Amino acid sequence: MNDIFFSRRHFLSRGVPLLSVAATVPAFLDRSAFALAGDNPNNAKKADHVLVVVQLAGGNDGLNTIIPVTNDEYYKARPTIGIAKENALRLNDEFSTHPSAVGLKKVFDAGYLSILHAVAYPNPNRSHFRATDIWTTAEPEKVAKSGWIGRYCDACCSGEDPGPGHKRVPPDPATAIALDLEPPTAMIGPSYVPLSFRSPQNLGFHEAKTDQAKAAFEKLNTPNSSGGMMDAIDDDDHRPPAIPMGVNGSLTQDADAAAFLQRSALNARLYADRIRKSTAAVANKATYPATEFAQDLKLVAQMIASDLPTRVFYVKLGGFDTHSGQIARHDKLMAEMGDGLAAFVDDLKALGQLDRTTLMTFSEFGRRVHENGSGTDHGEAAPLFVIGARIKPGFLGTFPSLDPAKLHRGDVPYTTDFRSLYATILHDWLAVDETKVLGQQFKKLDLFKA
Amino acid sequence: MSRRNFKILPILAVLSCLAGPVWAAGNDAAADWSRDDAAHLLRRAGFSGTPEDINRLHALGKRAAVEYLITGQLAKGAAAPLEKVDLPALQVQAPAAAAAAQAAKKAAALVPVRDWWVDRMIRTDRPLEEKMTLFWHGLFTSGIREVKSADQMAEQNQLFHTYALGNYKVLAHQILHDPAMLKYLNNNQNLRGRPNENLARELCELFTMGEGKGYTEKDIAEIARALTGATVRGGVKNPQGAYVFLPAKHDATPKTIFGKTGNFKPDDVVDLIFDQPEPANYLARKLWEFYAFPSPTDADIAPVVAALRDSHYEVAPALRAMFVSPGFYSDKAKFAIIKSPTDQLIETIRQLGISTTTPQQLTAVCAAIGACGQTLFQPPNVRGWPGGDDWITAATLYARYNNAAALVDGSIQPAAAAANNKSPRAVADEPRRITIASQPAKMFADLGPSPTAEELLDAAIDRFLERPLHPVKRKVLLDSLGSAPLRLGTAETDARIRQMLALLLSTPEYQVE
Repeated sequence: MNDIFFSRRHFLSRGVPLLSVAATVPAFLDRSAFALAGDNPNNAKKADHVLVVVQLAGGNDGLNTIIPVTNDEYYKARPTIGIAKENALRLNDEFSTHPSAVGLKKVFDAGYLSILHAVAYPNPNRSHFRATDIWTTAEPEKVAKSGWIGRYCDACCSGEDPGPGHKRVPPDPATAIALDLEPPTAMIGPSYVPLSFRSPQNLGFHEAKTDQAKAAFEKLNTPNSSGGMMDAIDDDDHRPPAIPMGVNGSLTQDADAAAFLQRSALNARLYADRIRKSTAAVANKATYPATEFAQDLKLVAQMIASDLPTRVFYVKLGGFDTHSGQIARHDKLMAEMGDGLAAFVDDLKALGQLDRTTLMTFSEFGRRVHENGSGTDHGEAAPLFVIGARIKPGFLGTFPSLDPAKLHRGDVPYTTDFRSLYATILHDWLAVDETKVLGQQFKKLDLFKA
Repeated sequence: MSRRNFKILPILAVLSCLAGPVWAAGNDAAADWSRDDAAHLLRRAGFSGTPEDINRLHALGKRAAVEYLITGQLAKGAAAPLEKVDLPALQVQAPAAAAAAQAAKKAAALVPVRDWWVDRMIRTDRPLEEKMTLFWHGLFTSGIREVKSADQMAEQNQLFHTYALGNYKVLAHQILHDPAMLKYLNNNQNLRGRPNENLARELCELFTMGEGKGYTEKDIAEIARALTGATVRGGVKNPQGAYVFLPAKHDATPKTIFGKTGNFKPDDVVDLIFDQPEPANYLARKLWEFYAFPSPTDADIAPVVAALRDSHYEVAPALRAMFVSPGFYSDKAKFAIIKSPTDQLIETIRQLGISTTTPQQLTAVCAAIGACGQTLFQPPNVRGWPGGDDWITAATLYARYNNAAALVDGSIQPAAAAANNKSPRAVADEPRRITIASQPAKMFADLGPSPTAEELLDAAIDRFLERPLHPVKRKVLLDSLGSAPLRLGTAETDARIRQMLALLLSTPEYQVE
C-alpha cells in the first residue's frame, strides 16, 4: 500500500510494540479499567514537568519570522516580500522578528524564549505530508509506525500493576491531550492514543433523560472484557483476561477495530467528566486574544494548572502554506502566534506554572529562499522556538550562509537536527532515557538551565 | 417484521424468469449471496436503508444487485430496491454583479450547495453516485476557505457528480481545467519563469501516483513548468473567473517528464502520468480502502487494478470487479470499516425511514456531520480525510452519539445556517432547535400494535446493527424499554422506544459498517 496512508489501525495492528506484546492495544483497557475501579497506579498524579507542542502547519517561512537583517542575500532573494530592517522588530544586531510578531518579541525580551536556528534533518522532504510524518515520527529515513510523543507515553509513562503478577500497565489515557478533532500522529504510540477534543463542552452525552438511561449508556459504553464486541462483559471484575491474538502476536482485524472503538468509548466517557471538572476549577489570570489559537492555549493553561496528570499538550495553528499572497497572510499569522504565546506565558507565570512548563514549536519545513512572486514554495530548514522559565534564552545553533552556492536545492540548509531537540527535551526536561523513544543517541543541546 | 422475511422473493423470481432477464436472481447460488451480503453491499455501495430496501436488493441476486447499484438498470419486471425520486438540479449561476461575486466568496454562500448535496444523499435511488462523488471530493480535494467561491466549489462538485462513475483519466484532465482546483493549489500563481509547484506535486503525490511512487523531484519541477499558464481569469460578465490557458504565461521550452522530452502542456501531463503503471494501482487501492477494508494486499486489489487497466481507467468496471469479488464479502470486510461522519448520519436517517426534510433540517444535518470531523467542501487539507480510526476521538464519538440520538429523538444540534462556518467549539455551544423525529410506530408497524419488548428490540437490532448484539448489552437495552406493555403509536410507548433507540445508536457497535 502507499505507505503514507497508513492509518491508526495500521499503527495499532502492525506497530512493533516497544513494550511487551501484552502491552499492545487492548491491554490498554487495563488502564481504563483501573481508572474505572478508582485504582490508578502510577502516573495518575500531576506530572513534575509539562511539555506543550505547537505545530505551525503548512510550512512556516522561517526567514520572514526570524529575519537576518544584515544579510544581503536575503534581500536579493526577496525583492517583494523581504522585510526591511527598519520595519522589523529588533532581537539582536543580526536578527529581528516579523513586525507583527509583537508578542514573540515580548516573550524574547522577558527572557523566556530560545530561538533555535535552521532546524531540519538530512535530505529534507518537500511534501507536506511526508515532512510532517518525519517530524512527528522522528524517522527521516523510513516510514515509521508511531509518533515520538506516543512512543514516549508508551515507553516512559506506563507502570507496574501493584497487584499480583506486577503486570505492566499502559499509560494513563490523559497522559497526552490534543486540542483537535483528530489525534496528531506525533501522539500516537505503538499502543497509546491521546485524548483529542476541541472543547470540554463537546464531551457529554446529552440524550439520556433519566438516571436509568444514563446508567444504561455507561454499560453500553463499557468494553467487553476481551475488547472484542462479541465477548462477555465482565461486570464484576473490570480487569480483562487474555486478549485474543492472531498469528505473530498481532491482533486480529476484528478484535482490533472492536477493541479500538470500545476503548475509545470508555476513555471518552471516563475522561469527559474529569476534564470538565478539572478545567472548571481553574480561572485564567491573563487576557487572551479572541483567536482560536489563543483560546486553545487558554484551555491548555487551565489544564496545566488543574489536577490532570497530563504531561504533553498539543496545539495546532494552520495556514502557513504561503505559496501566494504571503505578505498579508503571514502578517496575520505572526500576530496570532505571537499574541497567543505572550498571553500564555503571562498566564502561566501568574498561575505559578511557568516553571514546570516548556513549550516548543515546529513546522514541517521552512520555505524556499527565493520568493516566487507573491509567496514562497516549500523549503527546508527553519528556526523553531522553545519557551519557558527553565530554558536558556537567546539564540542557539548556527545560522547558515544564504549564499546561493551554499544553499541546498535553493533552500536553507539545516545546521541542527530536530532529533537533537527531541533528545534534549526528553532527557533534560521529561527526565527519561531518550533512546527508548528515538532508538539512538543524538547530540544534546545546551538548552535548559542547570 | 422479521429481517428474514423473504416473501417477496418468489414473486420476483417468477417475474424475472418470464421477462428473460440479463441478471436473474437465479444466477446466484443462495450460498453465494445471503441477505447479510445484500445488507453489506447496500451499506458500502450506498447509505444502507430500511429492512425492506435490503430485502428487495437481496431478491435481485448478487450480479443484478451490483448492476443495479452501478448502473441503475434492472431486469424487466424486477422491483426497484430503492424508491425512484426526482431530485432537483443545482442551479449554479455565476453572479453578474461584482457585489454578488463578493457575497459568493463567503462560506455562507455554500450552505444551499451543501444542503442540496446532502438532500441527494438522503433521498436518491442512485446512492453510489453520491458515494463516488464523496470519494472524488476526498481525493481531488479543494476547500471553500482557500477557493473563496461557493459557485466554483459547486461547479467542482458538479464535475464529480458528472464523472462519479466515469473515467479516472478524463476526470484528471477535467480537474486541471477546474477553477476551484487551480485556485486551491495555486496554479493561478504558476507562471513562466516563476513556477509554483503546488499543483504539480499534489497531482502526482495525492491524486494519481502516491508519494514518491514513480516520479522524482525533477519530474515535479518539470511538470510544474508544463502546468504554467493554466489559470483562472475573470471578466465583467464573470467576476469570479473561469478557466483559461494563457500562452503568454506558459513556459514553452522543452521539459523532460518520466524520461520523455517535449514541449509539454497541461493536458500532456495527464497523458504522461496515465501512461505510467501507478495510477491504476493507486486508484484501485484507494477504492478498496474506501469501500472494502483497510490495508489490502496486492492480491486483494488485483481484479480492480486489472479492470482499470483493461478499460483504460473506467470506474464502473473497477467497482463491479470489487463488488463481485469474494474478498468484498469476507469477514475481513464486514463491519471492518468505521463509518465516516457522512455515512453515519445519512445511514441513520435512511435506516430510520426519514425521507423528507426541510432546508433547515438539511443545514442542521450538514453541521452535525461537520461536528464529527467531516465538513463537506472543507477537507482538513489537500490530503483529504484520512478516515478509519482517525474519525474516532473522545469529541467526535460524543458528537456521533448526540447526533444519532437527536435524530431518533427529534432534536438535532446545531441550528443556524452559519454554524457551518464556525469552529467546532462554536458549533458545540449552539442551542439545538431543529427537529427531525423518527416515527417508531411506522418503523415497527409490521410487528403489530402491541409487540413484546423482546420482539421490538430484536427488530431494532436487526434494523440498525444488522447483526446480533452481545447478550449482556442486549439485556441493558431490553431493561431500558421497561416492563409495561408496548402499544405502538401511543406517546408513552413511542418515548420509551425512542430512548432505547437513542441508546442503541450511541454504542461503539453502531460506529462500524
